Amino acid sequence: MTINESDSDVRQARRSVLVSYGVISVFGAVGFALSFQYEFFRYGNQVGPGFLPRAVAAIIVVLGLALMLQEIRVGSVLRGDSGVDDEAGEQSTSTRKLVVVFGLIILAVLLVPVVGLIPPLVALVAALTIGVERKPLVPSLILTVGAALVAWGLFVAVLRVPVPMGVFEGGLS
Amino acid sequence: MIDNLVMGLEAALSLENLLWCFIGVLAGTVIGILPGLGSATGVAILIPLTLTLDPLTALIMLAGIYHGSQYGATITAILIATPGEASSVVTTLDGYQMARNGRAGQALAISAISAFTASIVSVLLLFTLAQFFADIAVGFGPVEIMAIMLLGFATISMFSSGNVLLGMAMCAIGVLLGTVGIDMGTGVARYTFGSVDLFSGVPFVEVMIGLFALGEVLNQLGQGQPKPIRARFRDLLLTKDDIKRAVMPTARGTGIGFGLGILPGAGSTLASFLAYGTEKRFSKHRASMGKGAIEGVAAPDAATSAAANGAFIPTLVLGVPGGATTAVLLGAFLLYGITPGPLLFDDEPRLVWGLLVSFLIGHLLLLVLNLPLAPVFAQLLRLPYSYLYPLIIFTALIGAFAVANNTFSLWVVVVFGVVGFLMKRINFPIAPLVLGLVIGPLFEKALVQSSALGGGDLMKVVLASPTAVGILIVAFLLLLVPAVVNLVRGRSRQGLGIGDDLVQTGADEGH
Repeated sequence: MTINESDSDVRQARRSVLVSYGVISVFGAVGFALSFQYEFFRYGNQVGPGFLPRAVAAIIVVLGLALMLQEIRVGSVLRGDSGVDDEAGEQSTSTRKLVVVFGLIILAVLLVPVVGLIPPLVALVAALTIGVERKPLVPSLILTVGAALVAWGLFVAVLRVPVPMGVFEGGLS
Repeated sequence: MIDNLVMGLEAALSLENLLWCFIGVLAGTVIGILPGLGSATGVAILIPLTLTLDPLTALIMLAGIYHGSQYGATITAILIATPGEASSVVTTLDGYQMARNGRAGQALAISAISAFTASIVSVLLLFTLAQFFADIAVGFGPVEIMAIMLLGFATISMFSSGNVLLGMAMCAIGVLLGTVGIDMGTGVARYTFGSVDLFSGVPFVEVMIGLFALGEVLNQLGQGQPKPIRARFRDLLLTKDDIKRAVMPTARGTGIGFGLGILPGAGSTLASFLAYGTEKRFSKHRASMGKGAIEGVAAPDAATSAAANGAFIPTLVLGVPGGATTAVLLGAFLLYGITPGPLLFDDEPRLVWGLLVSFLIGHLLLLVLNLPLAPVFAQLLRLPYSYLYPLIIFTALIGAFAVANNTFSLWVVVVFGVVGFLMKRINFPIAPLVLGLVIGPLFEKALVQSSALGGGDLMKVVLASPTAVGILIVAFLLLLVPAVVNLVRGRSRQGLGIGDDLVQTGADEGH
């Protein structure tokens, strides 16, 4: 995440970091509270099913609080896995596209039990290339059909993964 | 040894065996490319196809799939930041950056070469010292394995990119997620909230697909899409400097990978993480790790390849699988009426040595197939991202479904896709979380067994094992030495994650 240098932007950016650290602590606290359902020690003081969850959840809470303190006092280093921001090709209306794409993914997954696995995913590819990205129709359709054929060929024909067919169950084999 | 080598060559170099080896590595590469279809799944799915073959031929093909899938997983890790297996997660860190810098061809090529080199060395070690290493493996009980896992956790300090506390928190979250499901020791269902789908735990393959594939796509869409990489064909070829820089990381990765591979349960994932962490600590070019350093690809891929071969030692000599895929292969052994164990080398020398020679042949075929194809694969990045990301989403979802044939897997991908996206937005490291999720259950298993061995007195059993104590000391030093050194040098706020300013920097301070 690139942080602009204006004070309010920095404060807002760091607020999100602080909130994230708070979420970590809450996650740990919930895990810790729920771990009391499971035995910490079994007979003869042997490690029980609750030992590791409780210990690790407590560690998460402590680390989350330590991170929050660190962020409040002096700010913390955040470099992800690689420490490099990817160069963005364009910076315009990305949030809207992001929401639309994510919404389409959710819709596709919701449709899987209804119409099967491959149709909604293939429709998703078409919707993204033609609808969202507004790419030319022919290459988009080639890509979509190609994806469908490869998926069917590999998973159904070769690997024989039992793919749900939804309402088409029994109609196609 | 020469007699065994000759016997192995005679057995493996038949036309039929070479053909099935080729089919195996090709199928394995394709399987590895598809997120969700790991080597264990690929081997398991294709076992029925091999039932009509001679046992040696069948095992050669399955081993080809095993090795091919390791490389296939690396291809997607480098090109689209989507590791096909847990062991290729760390390859994403530098491999993907190399691809973004227009050096995808070099990344893919060095991956193939370092894996091949590691394979040669590890197979030769298998040939000469299989029994010796088996004796070492026998000496590693739950206590020692637990210590190795803690060493694995300690490598977090190497991955934390300047914030050890955050790295540890992410790892701990991964470990906690790994406790979800039925506890194997007691049968207690933990954190399942009554959901049958969670009985077998949070599925880490789907988590990986979500975090890396979908998370990266959402991140790229949120930032604005990356431009296609239009590198010239000749710019995608390895240079002498690339090869020179890769020599020592490959050597170190091979040693680490083989050493961990021979231990039952340690697995190639831990080996790849440890190898990467070692480069980040000791490499001459450690300041560029994480930004597209070739060492960051060579070392973990060498470790993965060496560990994959090393895992055959407990499998063949002791009949104890070295990992998930070797567990499936062990099943295949039994299907063909072969019983792995100490007598296997005496009872079935042709089969054993033929199989080991086939590892060399398989890796040679992988190199021959994929080295020229590396720049070709890299051309995939010329495709506009508008076409690429729908394919990534499609492949990710369909691959995730194939893992468990369950719609629940798709939801796991979606949820962790959001998590991965948010983590990338605020620059939280993902690798420690994956490490915790993968080795957490292994650690807990070793912990429970150690506790049982000591009758509830864990310290007693740990202190009774000099090997375990030695490993724990190394782990302790790995975690604390960097912080102490920085403290002594007056850079007290580095390493603990405290920055001097609030603006994120892109430069690694090389601590």
